[in-house]
Amino acid sequence: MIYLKRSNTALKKSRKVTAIVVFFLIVLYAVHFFFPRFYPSIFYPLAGFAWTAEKSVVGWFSRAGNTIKSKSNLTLENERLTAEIRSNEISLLLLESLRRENEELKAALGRKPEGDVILAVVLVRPPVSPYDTIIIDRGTRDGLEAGNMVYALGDALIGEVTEVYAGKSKVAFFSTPGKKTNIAFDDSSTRAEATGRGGGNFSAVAPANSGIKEGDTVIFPDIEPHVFGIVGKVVVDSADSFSNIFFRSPANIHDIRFVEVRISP
Amino acid sequence: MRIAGNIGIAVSILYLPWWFSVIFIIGACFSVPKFYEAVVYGILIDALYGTKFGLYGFSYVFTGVFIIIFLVLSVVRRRLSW
Repeated sequence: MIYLKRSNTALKKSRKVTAIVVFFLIVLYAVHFFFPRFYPSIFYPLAGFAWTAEKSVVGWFSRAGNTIKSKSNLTLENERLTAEIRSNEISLLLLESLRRENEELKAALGRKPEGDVILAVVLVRPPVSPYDTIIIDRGTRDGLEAGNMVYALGDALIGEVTEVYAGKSKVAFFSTPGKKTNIAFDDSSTRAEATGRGGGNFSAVAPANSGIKEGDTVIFPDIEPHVFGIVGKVVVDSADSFSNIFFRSPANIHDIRFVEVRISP
Repeated sequence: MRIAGNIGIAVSILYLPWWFSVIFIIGACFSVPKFYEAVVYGILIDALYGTKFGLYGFSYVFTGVFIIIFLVLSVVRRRLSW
């Protein structure tokens, strides 16, 4: 007896569904590939509301936690911080005087940094963001443009604005893995190319006899130099004429809550 | 179950450290048949947080990783029985 094999309609249907889904995924990916701003421009307004709400909820819990701290601990902490502020004020007086003198000299020579600085709140930062990026609450409405420099802790250069939307912007840290930036070592005036290693860490190669040591300041060479990092380790191979320098940003990118953006005039 | 999982993953992408999303998506690929949404979440993470610099110049890390996770776990799931 010969039986005709029944067509497997369930399998056919399943394959058809799979083909449709795969096609849909390809279209989604193609949209992102050709129009990289499309999805963020849709999701940022939606997610931005949620991020702000999340901040207020987390902020409430944080404040509630602070109120139940013991009074004696708070008194001790207050005394320690007061002493620290007094010591810092003395250092700042000298620093301020030097900064003013520096600005006056540059102004006399017709060189001064251009643009204003605006404060931005960090909505998302690592480790929520898997890349070395943050999302801030300022955008084109506030005059931001791609390429604007971003600072933390007042003077530490940490990254640049890469994408700007109406009320949000994406900032890429200079420590993004593989990203290269020209830097200078403050104490030895040696110039080098820093390579990002992620999480605020960098590596650079400099001549072994350049005199760079742990604790040296790394600066971003500009008309107004900014702190870029602090040297953590210098590895010198006796057989090599170059040394590997490892340094990190003075700002902890996991703790940044506010940043300053220098916008073009 | 599938809808609840999707909501959980979407929330984890917005609020929780990125490795939570990866763990949830691996779990979903194991437990839910044909969890195509994994690829959508990869595209979403790259779009929300990625930049042109990416990681070592590659901008679509999570899309690629989730496609691989989806394909590998689909095969593994088919060969396992529980």
